[in-house]
Amino acid sequence: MSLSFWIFAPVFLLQIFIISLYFPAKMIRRLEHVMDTYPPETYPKLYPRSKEYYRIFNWAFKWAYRLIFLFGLGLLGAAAYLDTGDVSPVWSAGYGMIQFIPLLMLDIVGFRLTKEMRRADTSKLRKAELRPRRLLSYVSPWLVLAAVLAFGLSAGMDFVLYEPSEWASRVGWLVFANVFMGVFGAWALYGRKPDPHQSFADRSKQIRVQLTSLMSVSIAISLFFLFMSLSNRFDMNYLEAPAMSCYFLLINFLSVGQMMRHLRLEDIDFEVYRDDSNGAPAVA
Amino acid sequence: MEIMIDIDSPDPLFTQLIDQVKQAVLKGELSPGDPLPSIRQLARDLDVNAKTVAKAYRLLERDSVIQTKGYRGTFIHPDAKDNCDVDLQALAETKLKDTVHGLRLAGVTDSELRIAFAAVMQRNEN
Repeated sequence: MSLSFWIFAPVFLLQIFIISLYFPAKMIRRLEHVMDTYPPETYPKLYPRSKEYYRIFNWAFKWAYRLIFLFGLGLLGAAAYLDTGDVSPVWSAGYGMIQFIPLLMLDIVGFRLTKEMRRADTSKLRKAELRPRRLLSYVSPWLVLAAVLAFGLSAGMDFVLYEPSEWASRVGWLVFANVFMGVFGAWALYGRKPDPHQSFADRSKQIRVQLTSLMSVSIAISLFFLFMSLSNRFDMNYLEAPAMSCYFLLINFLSVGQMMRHLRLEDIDFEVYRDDSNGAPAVA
Repeated sequence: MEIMIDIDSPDPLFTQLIDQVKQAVLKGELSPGDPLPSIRQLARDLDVNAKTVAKAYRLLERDSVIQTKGYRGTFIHPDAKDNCDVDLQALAETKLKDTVHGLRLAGVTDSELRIAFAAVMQRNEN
């Protein structure tokens, strides 16, 4: 087996174990804990659909990741079998994208459920915070500066290393990725409150974590583009596949990992989802 | 600082907003120079039409309770506390009441008054 494969294999294994097993297991435990501690009977506002729907979704989520885990091991075996020198980064990138599919489904389902929550909310009282939401109220200016510098460094390095036409194409992708992050950030900051019952403190915390995570991911993307430009220019192609795996690991730690770390269940105010008939307030 | 509106209340939504901002200023929950959310943000958070919030802000600005500083946003006016007590609508009603009373004494009928009022308003608009 080539040296390239031996560098790639352990990093790819980490990508398989951490993204397909470790994080999903933590997320499922979290979902089950919420359902057990805050059941639909007592906290009906948290569940716009039947209990069975959530059980099925958790089951599907768990099994999707188990299959993806097995598929990852299969891919590693195939990469070993087909080893012809430099391992292509397509292995890690393709698998990384497959690993994101259940997360994407989770986001889509979450989006639909909060939409149903808003539709089901019959409260006639509406509350708002009389305070402007601004980027720098939630994110450290140093982090914003770091994101801008990382972008500038990556675009500048491409300018030095490549012809103008290739530079434009590379920077185009970098801009696209950052605009994508920017749209999500603007949505979190200025968009409508997704969960009509969520308390202001929880929403504020969620926005802070989301924006910090998006900023960190933006920095990671810029640094990854920088690394890929350097490896491509200086013929270090054998490092591209492990770098791609590291990139996916980093993205997961900065997004899913940060969300779970900073939005701890014990800090979330679940009382706002209680049944109104018990005398709880009608709105968050 | 939070505000709450009741969409079932007989009071118009913009009046509820104005009253709550003024109350917050009088109680000291909002101080001169404090920033306020943008019209769009507040409208989205309260799930009401942006025109409703814009109208409330316009009237608060007219009463010098808030002030808009271009792209920097909207802030509580330095003299907001003093200006919260001024009710321009009540002032207009008192002045009109006196004028109407005087004209009625002079024999002007209600329909003549309405026509005259509409004509004056129209002339002022033009």
